[in-house]
Amino acid sequence: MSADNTTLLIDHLDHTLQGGSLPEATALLNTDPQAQETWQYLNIAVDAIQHEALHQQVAAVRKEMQPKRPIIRRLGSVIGVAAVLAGLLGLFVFYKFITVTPESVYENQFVAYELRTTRSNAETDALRVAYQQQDWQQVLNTYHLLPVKSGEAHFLAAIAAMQLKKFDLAIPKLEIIRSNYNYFVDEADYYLALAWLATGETHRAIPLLETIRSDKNHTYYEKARAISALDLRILSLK
Amino acid sequence: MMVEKRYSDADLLAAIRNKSTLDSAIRSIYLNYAETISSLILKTSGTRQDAEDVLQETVVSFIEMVKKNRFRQESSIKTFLVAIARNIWLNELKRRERSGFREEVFETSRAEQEPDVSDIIAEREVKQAFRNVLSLLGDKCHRLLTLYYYENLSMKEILAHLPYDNEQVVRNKKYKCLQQLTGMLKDNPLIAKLIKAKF
Repeated sequence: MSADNTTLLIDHLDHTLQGGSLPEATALLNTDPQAQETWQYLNIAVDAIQHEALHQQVAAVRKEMQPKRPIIRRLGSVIGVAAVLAGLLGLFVFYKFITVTPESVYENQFVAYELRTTRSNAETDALRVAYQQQDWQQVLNTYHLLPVKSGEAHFLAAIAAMQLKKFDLAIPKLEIIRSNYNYFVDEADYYLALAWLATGETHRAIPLLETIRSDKNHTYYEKARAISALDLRILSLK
Repeated sequence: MMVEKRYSDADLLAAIRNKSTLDSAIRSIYLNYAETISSLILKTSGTRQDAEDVLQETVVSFIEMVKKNRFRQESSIKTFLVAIARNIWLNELKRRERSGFREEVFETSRAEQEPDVSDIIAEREVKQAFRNVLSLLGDKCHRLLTLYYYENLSMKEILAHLPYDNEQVVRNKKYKCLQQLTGMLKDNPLIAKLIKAKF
């Protein structure tokens, strides 16, 4: 059927025909079977729209009639949930307070320094070999025999001492690096903070860790950020 | 708290026919007849959800009959509603193939002279097909056709509800949407069969 005739039938359906168009539509419906079929479908389409809309209206009224939970009860539920969450939070903080110690943070954070192939010189070769073999006591022995000690030598000896839990030997070496050298300084910062944690000197360790955590360009920024602010706060309170 | 108006049968029919009081009429039907209909469904193996579904279909079917002046008032509204609900539920159990319960439903709450609701039951499948087809129509088209053919809004009033530039755009869009829906109905085998049977 032509688009014009379809439009004519739709206008007829909508009761918007005027003048001679109404008799034209009536004549079309009386004579053209295809127009009659289209007319049926148009009417069914309107029926479908009205049926669905009525369904939705009835459902909406029904929904509106469903008993609503009183606000006071809902408020009670919210308070209940909040109380449970507060309780859980309290338990979590208590658990953290018990379990977070300078030693535990040290154990979680300490990872042996990985020796790279650069920064080498002949005097420290024996020290580097011992370090790579993880022969920590040999590292310290070799360090003591060195006539001239480089920043790297101080640092590797400090890490070896930390591996042997000899923090009293490690700390002065790391402090020397921070005071006298321009390299291994970031490494010394981080490991010195850990060494202070291990010896319970949290009043020294925490400010140093905070300094590293606030400097995005620091080599150990990410590692220091891995210690949670809550853990640091607990350490400072202990 | 809203106090719902209690209608006599005649007033309820008038309220259904008036667009502005239809919500109130629906509320009244639920308040007065929901319990009777729900207990009929629950007594014959139906769940709460079944009762809600049958109740809604009953209310929709009844309102459509009234609006189309097909309710001849040969029985009270309550008797008529119960007859519709009983037959819808019977039909539903048949679809689910639960014959034992069908017999029980057949006898439960059956009026001595039950009104003839066979038309409603016969149209059930077609009505379901309508809903299936409409679920495939785009939201904008569905909304536009509803505003025009159900809410009876003018093109100008529709402009306030939908993001179109002017009345002519709304008119053109409505033509297209109606033709799209007609095409989708033609593609539905059940509806096509129904139309063919008329020729």
